[in-house]
Amino acid sequence: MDNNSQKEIVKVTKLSKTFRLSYKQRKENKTDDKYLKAVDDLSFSLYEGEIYGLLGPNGAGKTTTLRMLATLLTPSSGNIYLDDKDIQKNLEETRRNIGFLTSELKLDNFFTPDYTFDFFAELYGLDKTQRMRRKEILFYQFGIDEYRYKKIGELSSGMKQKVSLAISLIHDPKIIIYDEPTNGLDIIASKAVEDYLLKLKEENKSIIISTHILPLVEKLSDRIGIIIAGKMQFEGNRKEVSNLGGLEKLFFDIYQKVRDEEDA
Amino acid sequence: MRKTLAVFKKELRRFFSDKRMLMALILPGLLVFLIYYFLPDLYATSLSPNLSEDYIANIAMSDNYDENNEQSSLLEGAILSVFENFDYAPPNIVEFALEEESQIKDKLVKKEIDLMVVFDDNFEHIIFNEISVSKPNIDILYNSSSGESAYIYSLVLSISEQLYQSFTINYQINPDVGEQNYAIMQVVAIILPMLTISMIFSSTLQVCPEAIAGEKERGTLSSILVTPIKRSEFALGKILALILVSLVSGTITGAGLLISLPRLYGSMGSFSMPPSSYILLFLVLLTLVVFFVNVAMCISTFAKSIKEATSYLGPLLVVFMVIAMLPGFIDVSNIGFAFVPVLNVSYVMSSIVYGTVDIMYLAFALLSNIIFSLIFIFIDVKLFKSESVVMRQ
Repeated sequence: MDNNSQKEIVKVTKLSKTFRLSYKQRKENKTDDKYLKAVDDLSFSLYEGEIYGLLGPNGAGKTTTLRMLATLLTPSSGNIYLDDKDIQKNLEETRRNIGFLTSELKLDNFFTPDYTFDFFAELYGLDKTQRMRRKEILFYQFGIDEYRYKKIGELSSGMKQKVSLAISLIHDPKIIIYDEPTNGLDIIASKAVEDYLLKLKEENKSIIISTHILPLVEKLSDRIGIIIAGKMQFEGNRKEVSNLGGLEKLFFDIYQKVRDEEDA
Repeated sequence: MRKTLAVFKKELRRFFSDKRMLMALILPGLLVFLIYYFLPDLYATSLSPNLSEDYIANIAMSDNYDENNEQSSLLEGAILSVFENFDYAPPNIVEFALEEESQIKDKLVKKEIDLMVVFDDNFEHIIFNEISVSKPNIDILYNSSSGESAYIYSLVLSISEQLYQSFTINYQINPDVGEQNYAIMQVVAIILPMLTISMIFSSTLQVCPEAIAGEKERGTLSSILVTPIKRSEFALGKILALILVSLVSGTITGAGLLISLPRLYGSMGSFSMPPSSYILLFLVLLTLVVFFVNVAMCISTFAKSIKEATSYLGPLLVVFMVIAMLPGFIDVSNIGFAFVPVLNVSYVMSSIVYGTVDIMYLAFALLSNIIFSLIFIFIDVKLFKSESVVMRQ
C-alpha cells in the first residue's frame, strides 16, 4: 500500500501520558516513583482506508493510546489530529467520527440490544429513519436480530461482543478503533468480525486494531506498529515485516532487545 | 438537551422496570406507614401493661357522691370487687373534699396517685333516684405518662359504665392530666424526624450508588462517554432522573406518613393538623430529597464501585440520623440553624406538627436546602469532568 497516495486521517505526534500512582499501585508495581509514564513520545499516522495493527505486551500502553485517540483520556503532552484538527479542541466532532470498542467497555446487562441500540443512536443524534436503517443493517450483519429483545445479560459472551460491535458502528464512523475485537468470540464469530473489518476497509474506513493474536494482525493489517514500554519500537508495512522474518519473529526480537536494554 | 433526555429516560427505565429497584423505592414508604400506623398500639401496650399483682393502686374519690348515704360509694365497692376478682392487690381508695380537688390533681400529675374521681354533688343519689332532669357529671382523671394510671383508668371507666349503665351521665371530655402531648412530644421531637429522614436517605442510598458508581463498576460509563454527549449533559440527565426517582420514593414515604399520622395522633390525644401543615411538611421533605440526591451523587461519582460508594454513604446515614434527633435534645430554634441541612428539616418537621412553625425559619431552611443542592450539583458536574475521577477503576 502506497501511503503517499492516501489521505492522512489521524496524525499522532509526540504523544505522552503520565499517571499518578497511588500508594497501593506503587506497592503493586514495586516502585517508589509517584508517576508512571504509560505512553512516551509516541508518533504515528493512520491513513484513509487502511487497517493499522497495534501490537504490544500487557502494560505496553496500547489501551492508553487507544483511549486518548477515543478522547476518553487527555494526553499529558503531544497532540492527536483528526483531519488536521486537534481532537482535544473538537471533542464532539471527534466522537462523531470514531467508533471505539475495548474489552473494558461494557453494555448494561439490564437492557435489550434493541433498546441499547436506540439509546446510543440518540446519543449520536441519529433520527428515527437513520436509526432504523442502521439497526436493520448491523443487526443482520452480526446475527443479532433473533436476540434483539433478550436482555444483554442473558446473551452469550460472543453475542454480547457482537452487540458491542454493532453499537460501536451505529453512527457509521469513518475511523474505527478496536481493542481485542475478537475477544470472547468463537472461530465462526471471529471470522465474521474479520470479514466485516475487511468490508469496512473496502468502504474506505480507517481502522486501528490492537490484539494479541499475531496471525490476525498479520492477516488484516496494512501497517503494523509495535509498542513496548510506552514507546513505538517498530513501524512498518506487511512487506517490511515479512522481509524481517515475519511478525512473530520480529515481535519477540524487538521485545528481547528492549528487555536487554532495560536490564543493561 | 436531546442527549440529556436520553440519559434521563434510560435511568427511569432502569429504575421503574427493575423489581429490585422498585422494592427499594416503595419499601421506605411502606415501612413508615406500617411503623406509624401500628406504633400507637405498641406504644399503648408498652405504657399500659397489666397491673402486677402486688401493685397497690391509689385512687382518690370526692366525698360528695351522696349526702344521704354515709356508706362508701357504690363505685368504690364495685372497684374493690373487680380488683379482687382480677387478683389484684386491694386498691387504696381515699376520699377527699371538693376543696382539695386541685391538690389531689397535683398529686395525680406528680404520679403520687393513679386516678381521681370527682362526682357532681349527690351524684349517686341523683341518678339512682332520678331526681334531676339534667345529666349529672363524673370526672375520672388519670395521667397518661404512667402506664399503671392509664390501665387503672380504662378499668375504672368500664366499671363505672357497667355500674351506671342505665343512667345518663357525663364523663370528663379530656381525662388525661398528664403533661399535655407528652407522648406526642416524644414521637414528634425525636422519632418522627429521625425515622422519616433516615428512610428518605435510605432510598437515596439505594438508587445513587447503583446509578453512578454502578456504571463505573460495570464498565458501562466509558461506553457512554465515548459518544458525543458532553459530561455536563450526562451528569444533568443522571441528576434529574435520580431526583425524580427519589422524589417518587419520597412521595411514597410522605404518603405513608400522611396516611398514618392521623391515627398516630388520634390515638395519643386530641391532635390535628390543618391541610396547610401537611403541604409544608411535604415541601420541606421534597427539598431534603433533592439535597440528599445531590450529596449521594457526588459521593457515588467519586467512588469507583457500588461497594465503595455504600461504604461512604452508610456512615453518613448514621450522621444524618443523629442530626435529625438533635432538635429533641437541644434548642435549635435560632435562625442560624435554619442553614444547617437536615437539622433544619428535622426542626421544621417538629414545629409544623406542633403548629409553631416560624415562617422565616422555614423559608431560610428551604432556601438553604436549595443552595446546598446547587452547590453539590456544581461539584458533581466538576467531578464528571475530571478524568481521574471518571476513569477511576
